[in-house]
Amino acid sequence: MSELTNVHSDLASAKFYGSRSEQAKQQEALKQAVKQDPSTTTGIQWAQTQAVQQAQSGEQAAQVANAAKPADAKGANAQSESYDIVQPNLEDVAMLTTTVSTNESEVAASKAGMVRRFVAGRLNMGALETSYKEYFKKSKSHNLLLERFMANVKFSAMKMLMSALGVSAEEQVQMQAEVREEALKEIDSKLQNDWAYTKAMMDITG
Amino acid sequence: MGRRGSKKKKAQMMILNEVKKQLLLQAERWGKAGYYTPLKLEEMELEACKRIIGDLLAEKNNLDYQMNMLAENRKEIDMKLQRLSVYLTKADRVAKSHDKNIEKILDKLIGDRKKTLGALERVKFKEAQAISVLISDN
Repeated sequence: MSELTNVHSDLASAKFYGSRSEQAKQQEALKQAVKQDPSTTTGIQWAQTQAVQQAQSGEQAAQVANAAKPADAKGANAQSESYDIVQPNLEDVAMLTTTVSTNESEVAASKAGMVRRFVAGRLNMGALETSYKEYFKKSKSHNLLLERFMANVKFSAMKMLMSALGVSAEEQVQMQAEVREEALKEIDSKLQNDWAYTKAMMDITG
Repeated sequence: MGRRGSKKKKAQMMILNEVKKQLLLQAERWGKAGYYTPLKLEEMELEACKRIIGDLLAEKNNLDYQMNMLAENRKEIDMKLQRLSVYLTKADRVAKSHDKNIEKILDKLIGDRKKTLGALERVKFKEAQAISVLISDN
């Protein structure tokens, strides 16, 4: 009885290892002669494959092969042609399944101020500076609600934008000083030429 | 001048005062709060008055030339000259009033004028003495 069980176990292990080695051999024997034929409408690439199945050697292997795939055992060097969609390579799969950047440009450290320069190149900096000065000037207006409040809001937004575009604090302070000088000159000339002259004229002619 | 004229003048003065108020407020916001003092404003008005007097005098010279050299519209030019002389006397009066106002403000700033003048003389005397001592040393 014990001998019978030993024979059974030997046969089972032989079947198991035989099927494993058969699969490995089949995979090695499968040579794909790829002829790529890209579709013009969808962009899908088709490949013509030629599967070459070599004759199996050994009785056990043949038995296992016959048991597993009886339809395939038609003889030595059986060839079959089929068309398949080109499968992605290992590199492509790796690219799809991982989030790690593999391109040098992606891995390289970003150059300082690159985005800023890009945005600044697209925007008209002269116009921005003019509006910045205008809003700063209006923020000092005598009119509390209509001018000063809104101008303050706009000026704060412009300040943030200019800072984001890379205009330094020193440059902003310089611009503000220029605006201040201009505004004070304007106030002085208005007081001298408009107010004082008109008042004197009214005193004389009125 | 009737009631209508005085109303108009009053309205004009109100507008001028409002303009002045707004300009001074703006100057204050720009950080020049104490720059436009009453003295400075009076000086501005006096300067403007003098400029107007200069313009009036130039116009008077022009009209005089027209009156003497050209024979046309003599009556009109004469009327204009009369009007101009009135304006000139008024402008002088206004300028004098501004001068007086400036003096008043300065007096307020200085305090007692006699004492200040005495102090000034003493300072000048001391400076002169120091200079003479320096010259004698050399």
